[in-house]
Amino acid sequence: MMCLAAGLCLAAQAQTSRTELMAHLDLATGNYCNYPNPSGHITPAPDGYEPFYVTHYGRHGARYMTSDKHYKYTIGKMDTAQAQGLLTEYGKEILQRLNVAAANAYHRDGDLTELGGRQHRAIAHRLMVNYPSLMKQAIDVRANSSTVRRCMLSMANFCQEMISMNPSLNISMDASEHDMYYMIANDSIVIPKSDKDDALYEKLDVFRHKMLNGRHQFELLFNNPEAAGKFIDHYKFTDALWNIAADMYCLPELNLSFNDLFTDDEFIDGFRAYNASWCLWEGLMPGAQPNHYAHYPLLINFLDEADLMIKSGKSGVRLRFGHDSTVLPFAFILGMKEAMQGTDDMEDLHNHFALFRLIPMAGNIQLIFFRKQGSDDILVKFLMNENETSIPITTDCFPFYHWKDVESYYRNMLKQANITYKDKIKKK
Amino acid sequence: MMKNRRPVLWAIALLTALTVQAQTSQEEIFNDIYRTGSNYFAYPGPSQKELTPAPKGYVPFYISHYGRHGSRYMSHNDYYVTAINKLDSAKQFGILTAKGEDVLNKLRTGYADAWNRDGDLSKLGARQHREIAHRMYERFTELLSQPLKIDAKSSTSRRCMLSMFNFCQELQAQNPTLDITMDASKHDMKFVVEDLSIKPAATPQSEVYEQQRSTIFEGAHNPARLMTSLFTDQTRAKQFIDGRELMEALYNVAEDLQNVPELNISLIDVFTKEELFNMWTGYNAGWLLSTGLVPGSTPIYLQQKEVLDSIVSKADQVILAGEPSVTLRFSHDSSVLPLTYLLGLKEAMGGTSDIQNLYKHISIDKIIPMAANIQMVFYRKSDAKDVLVKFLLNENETTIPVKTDCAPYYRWTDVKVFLNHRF
Repeated sequence: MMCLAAGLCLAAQAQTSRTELMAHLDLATGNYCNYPNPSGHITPAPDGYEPFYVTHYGRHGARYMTSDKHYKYTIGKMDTAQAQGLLTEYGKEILQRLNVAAANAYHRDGDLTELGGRQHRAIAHRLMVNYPSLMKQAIDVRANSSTVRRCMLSMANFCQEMISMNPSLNISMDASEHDMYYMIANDSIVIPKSDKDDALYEKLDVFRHKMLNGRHQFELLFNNPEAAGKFIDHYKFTDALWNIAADMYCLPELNLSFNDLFTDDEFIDGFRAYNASWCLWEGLMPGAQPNHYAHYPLLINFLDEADLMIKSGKSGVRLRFGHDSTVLPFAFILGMKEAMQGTDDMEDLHNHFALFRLIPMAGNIQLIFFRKQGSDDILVKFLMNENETSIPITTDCFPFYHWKDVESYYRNMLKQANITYKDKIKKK
Repeated sequence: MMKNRRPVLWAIALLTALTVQAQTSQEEIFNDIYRTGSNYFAYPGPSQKELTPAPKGYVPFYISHYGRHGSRYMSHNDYYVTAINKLDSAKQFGILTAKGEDVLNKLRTGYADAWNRDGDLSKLGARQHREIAHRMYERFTELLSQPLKIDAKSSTSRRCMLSMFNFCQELQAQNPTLDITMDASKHDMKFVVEDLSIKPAATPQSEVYEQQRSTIFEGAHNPARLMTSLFTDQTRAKQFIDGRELMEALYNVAEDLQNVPELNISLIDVFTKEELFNMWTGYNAGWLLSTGLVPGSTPIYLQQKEVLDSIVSKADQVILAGEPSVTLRFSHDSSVLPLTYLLGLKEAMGGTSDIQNLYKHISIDKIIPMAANIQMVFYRKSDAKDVLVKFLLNENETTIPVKTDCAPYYRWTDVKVFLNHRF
């Protein structure tokens, strides 16, 4: 019964229906999505197995947009339109709203928002609560963050919650160029070329322009859409508005929304545009250049450190705080089912692959290790955003996998990938 | 008889302590040679173990803390690169002494560790902040054991952010009920770091001072003895090594190594104590002149005025609201130094136009070592209207030029009058 229920739940989770998005329009913000609460289901470990190690890679929490370019473009263009008498009354109101949002975002490009801090505290809180036998000990916690401030502050919030729940933890934190070779895409790695890449990017460009065509927005905002179209790019303008509307979900305290600029369908179209983009950008679409190669050092880091921890016989927690552009391809490398259904049918893609399951704000991957006294067998389970998930290896105790199988699968994958590094010395 | 004499002895001891602290001698530096690191000097911890009790009935209700990041790696590795390249070439030419060989090996170990860690907080730097936070908790437990709101802000520089994280984490470990908010954003920089867009006009004397400083600094960088100790053939060495440049590089590396003690390597004995002392006087004068702490020098410290204003207005807000709290700010040496002067802390006062002897009056290793900090601790009494404040520099109580009948405590109203009329 349990198995059947879990199976149904998983099957439902892998598919995204329009109904689901309509009911939770916040999910359609894609990688701006507020971190969805995990299901809360935790499969008990097989008899006698105790958690002893957690290794984690998480994206920073909710943030401001990484630059003010979308505000500059929309406000700049709408200002001009206003001077030319082209703004509708509604357009004037939207311009005011944009100015309020832009003022709040001033000098906060890419900053973690308050919600972002709370998301990390909540994730840490659940980690502490879900694995009490491990987390109540006076163990070492080693945390590294990308050198980007929002990641560092995510780390600080995460660790702060942990220490408040167990003051005996010995937590060390760092954020250094020294560790960036595995924390984000390693640009020294040679990425194999793909013949299909150019065609896929052309296809994406057409798809994005279709999804973010802006016809409706122009009608709402400008009393003469044709005149406005002479100095405002439909696609660029709508893309900017969609990003602003999506980012408002990161700033609930502002009580501002731009969703009224989009019908639900249009808002979901924006999601579909970014869903397809990310799938291609990170090389998760069949035929795309395998950009995930740049993240193999993170896999090596996960494997090597896990091995060291297992050999040491100790217990501990390893935390890493980075970006969506790492979580997504890393989920793919690990073979997590949420990341595996990419297709180049961009119209249909969102039915199989959905960003909000992978890289919402604070999105994360956790591997929890278990051992049993008197046994060499180590079990590991994989969590995508704290939900138990599967990888393409057979196991007799799902969602737990035998580490020896997991390790040999990934080590073999690394061998096959035959990673090569660019020459440090430029040849003439 | 003995009993009666005690207060007198105490007073003498105290006076001596204060006089000694305000003056710095060569002997003092020789006794703690790493002081010659100036702003590389690793935080020594407070020399004052017992703080002066507050006047009866006064309890602390607000702390405003302004700190520099802790021990760090050099902000760039060029010094390592220069020194290693030159010594390595000398080795190839067969003109490296045994001492030189030893120095080269140590440089290589240090550089390997420092690689891609330019400007990073070191492990010691993290510990310094945890220890400062820990002492803050122990010294002001009655305040910090409450479920306070603590607002922490840091410069956007990583070493400052990590200093903040370590500080806050130690506080949280001491009191899990603290509600701590941390941020580091360009949005708040005017409350955290000096405003470099303020450019006070250069004073007529500044050029003269600069020439004097340069003479001291260059005079201190005489590499003759150092070169002899490292290279067997001086003529050959001078063909490709700028001794002056090498000396500066080795000074920086040798001094910064105190901030990475886990490496267990030292290069400080590459120099004689006199050489270190002389270089330090040059750096000391440089810091004081470039901040404007010498009469007639360009008042660069004005760049920090807005931070001072925000410290004062934040304190006023807290006093008005009545809720106990703590404000933490994490910044840089170039921010702490002008702030000590703006506040009138005695360690930063007494600058003199005698540049050669400036170090005797102000010594920056006492002001801006790694993890340097200024703490303003505010006290109130339930049936009294006045608010008292005391100032700690690097966790030692200090004084400002304001009259008080309860030193080191001052009436906040008097302090504000002083600050308002200071500039």
